[in-house]
Amino acid sequence: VQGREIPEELVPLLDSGFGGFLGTASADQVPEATRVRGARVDESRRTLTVFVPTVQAARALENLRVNPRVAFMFASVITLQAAQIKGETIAIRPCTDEERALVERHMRAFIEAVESIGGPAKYLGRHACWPSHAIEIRVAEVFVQTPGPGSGRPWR
Amino acid sequence: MSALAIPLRSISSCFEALIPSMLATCARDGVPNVMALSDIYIVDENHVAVSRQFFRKTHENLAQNPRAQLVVTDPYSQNTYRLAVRLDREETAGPLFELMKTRLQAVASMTGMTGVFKLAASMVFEVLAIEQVAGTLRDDVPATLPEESALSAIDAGTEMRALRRVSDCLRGADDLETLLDRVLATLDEVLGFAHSMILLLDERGERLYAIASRGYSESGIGAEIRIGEGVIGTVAQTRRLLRVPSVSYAKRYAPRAIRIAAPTRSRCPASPTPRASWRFRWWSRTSCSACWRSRAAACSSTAIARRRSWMWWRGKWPSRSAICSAAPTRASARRPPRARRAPDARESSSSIRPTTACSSTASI
Repeated sequence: VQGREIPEELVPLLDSGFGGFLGTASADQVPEATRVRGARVDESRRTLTVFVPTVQAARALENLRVNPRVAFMFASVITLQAAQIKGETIAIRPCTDEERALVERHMRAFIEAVESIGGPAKYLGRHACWPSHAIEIRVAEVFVQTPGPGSGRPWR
Repeated sequence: MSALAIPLRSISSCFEALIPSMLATCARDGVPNVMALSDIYIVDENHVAVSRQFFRKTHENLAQNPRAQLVVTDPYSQNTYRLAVRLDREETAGPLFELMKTRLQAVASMTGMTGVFKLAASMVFEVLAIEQVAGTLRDDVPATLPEESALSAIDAGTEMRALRRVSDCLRGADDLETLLDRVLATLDEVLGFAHSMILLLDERGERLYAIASRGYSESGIGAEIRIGEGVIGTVAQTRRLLRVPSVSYAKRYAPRAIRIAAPTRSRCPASPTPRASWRFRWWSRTSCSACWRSRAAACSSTAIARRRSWMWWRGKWPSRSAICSAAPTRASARRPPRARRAPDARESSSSIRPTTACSSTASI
């Protein structure tokens, strides 16, 4: 996989209460989308770690053992600015305690964002985000995913 | 075709577009792709449809590999479901396509984006299996159930009760004003349509004007809407029943799309221009003013509407009418009434609460 950097303007979005899903595929090319509860961008911006609730991600983790390719779609709940990162998985492991704080902070930010747009935030408190797994991804490509005719184009 | 273990209809609230759904596909080389969807339509017991507008990679992937997955969330229970689906067909004509096109057209129109949203096709997927995603919700936090609302009381007998109540209205009303008020009250009390309007087509066939309204902080009588504009205008133009499940999402979605389409445009078209042809805005503003001329204008507007409705009542006004109503979704049904002036989302720019708008036209 030829790497690229995550555009700098996307880093604040990845540090916010975004809504995101990780796409994986089985060996026989059946896709699977799993909710992501937080992300951390590496200093080089060429790799990032996404956090997925372990129970919900059981099949995704199984898929990654046979097919490391992933698509990570994330969007601002408020502005709907969205992007999709494609890449390869380089490591899978249970989250550390330090990462737990990050996941919980993300969950709080997500609920606040939903509340700010008048969404049904009071129901979101039940969402499970722990225990989670950390999936490290080497970034290969970044695409625009914001709704509109430009959606699907490589991020310049 | 086998019956699904979880019937599609049993999770219909997942398709109210209050929470965006996800569509995952996979290319032949094993690279997955995920995209958010605003609307999914239930076609029948085993099929759902998705509108194809801006899909690129998803469309490419489905051409190579028709297997896909939809992830939907119930906005009330927050349960998440995965639907294993397979692309069955694409439709570019027919009732389903027209329905999806009308909704898209209405959303585009209410945000000033007619022509930007173009429905390329209705993608119909066969649903192979539905599973509830395990581990989505915490066991230690009690469920927050949707509050009781007028809508939750709707059952098989509701239609009959509504029909009986409307018949009583027709029998008992001495004048048109009373009749219209009672009909709208019945829609509210029996069916839960808290905000509603009755509109008639003007003599030129260019505009609809309101002859009765209910649920708004100011009377909507005299409000005018150009045919083809906004949800109501689009319904009148296409003569199709239309339900826009999440006005708030559509209003946030549309301006994003236009910014991509026309980055040099200086004004966000979601904000109505001062020359917005929805006269109601002008009328209600002037009617609030202390200026006597404004009050006179408001009175005149109301009088014209009353006169027109009287002529229509007397059969001197062959016209198409529109009943427009806005019902709260179950989640927002018990929320205190908000001050809103019109059911069209274009008029409620400050409101981004989940709201369902529904309009229909009928020949009377």
